[in-house]
Amino acid sequence: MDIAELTAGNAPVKDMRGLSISPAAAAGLLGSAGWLVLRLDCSSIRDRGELFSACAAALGREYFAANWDGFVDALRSLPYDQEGRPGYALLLERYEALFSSDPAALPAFLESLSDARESLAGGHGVGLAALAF
Amino acid sequence: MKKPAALLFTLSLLLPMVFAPAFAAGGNSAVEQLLGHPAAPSAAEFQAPEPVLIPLKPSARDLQPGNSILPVIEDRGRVEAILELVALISRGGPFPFKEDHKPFKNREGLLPAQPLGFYKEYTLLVPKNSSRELVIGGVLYHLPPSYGVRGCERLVVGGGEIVYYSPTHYKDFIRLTIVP
Repeated sequence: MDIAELTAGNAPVKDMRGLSISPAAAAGLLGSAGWLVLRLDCSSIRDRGELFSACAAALGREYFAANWDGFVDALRSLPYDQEGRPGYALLLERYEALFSSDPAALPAFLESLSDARESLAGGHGVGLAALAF
Repeated sequence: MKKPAALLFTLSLLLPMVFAPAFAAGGNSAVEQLLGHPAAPSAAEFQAPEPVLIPLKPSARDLQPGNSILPVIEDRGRVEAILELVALISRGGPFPFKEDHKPFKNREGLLPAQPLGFYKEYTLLVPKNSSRELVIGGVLYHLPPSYGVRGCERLVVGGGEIVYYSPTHYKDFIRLTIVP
């Protein structure tokens, strides 16, 4: 599998489960191509607040977002603070556990990813990939 | 002379029309304050019309160059930054960020519901080392930790006229009146 296969497609989250590539291998491929990779353990992301905290921690920040409007804004603002990247990737490990305390958050999460991807592609010409493992 | 019941029915028809702009602008309308809830005649009386976008009267125009802001923002640096951005928006740009002058989707529904495209948003850059605590209209807001080039503060403009300030990265919205 190469970088193009990892980042192709329009689905908000690309399901990598059952494919012969590990999260570590995918992170290596993306990282070597210059992508910023955020590895998120979904078993610790039971609601959207924990998602925002996990993103902040992965970036070494105190804060990422407080709601979905802020989440989209934080994603689309990444090129200003992580310049020169061809793309940004969320590696969602143990994806089946995501939002276990708040399943209703999933549609908003997927829509937010689509909106942020469109904004990043149109405004900065860079990619956003979310891969489920 | 009309009977009392007929008068009440007529009023129930007229009141929503009179106060429709207040509903469109959101917040507590005069009807809500008087009756404790929005005027809502029973379905048996008449079918409620489909919601429509009410054009704003010129007097409702908040987006205009000005010298001060209401409610009072107790931070002169932020006030000047907001006034400069409002003046830039009223001139039509150019804007420093690609995310400026783009539709704000109001995903959380914190602003009154409007068709997509009604709201547009703009990055508000404030002086470095501005306080992370801010008093607006006597209310204390705790701002998120500052990060990144664009910071966490935004203006959202509705219908090209109504100005909202979000100091807290879309968590709170304060409607502003720009005083000429």
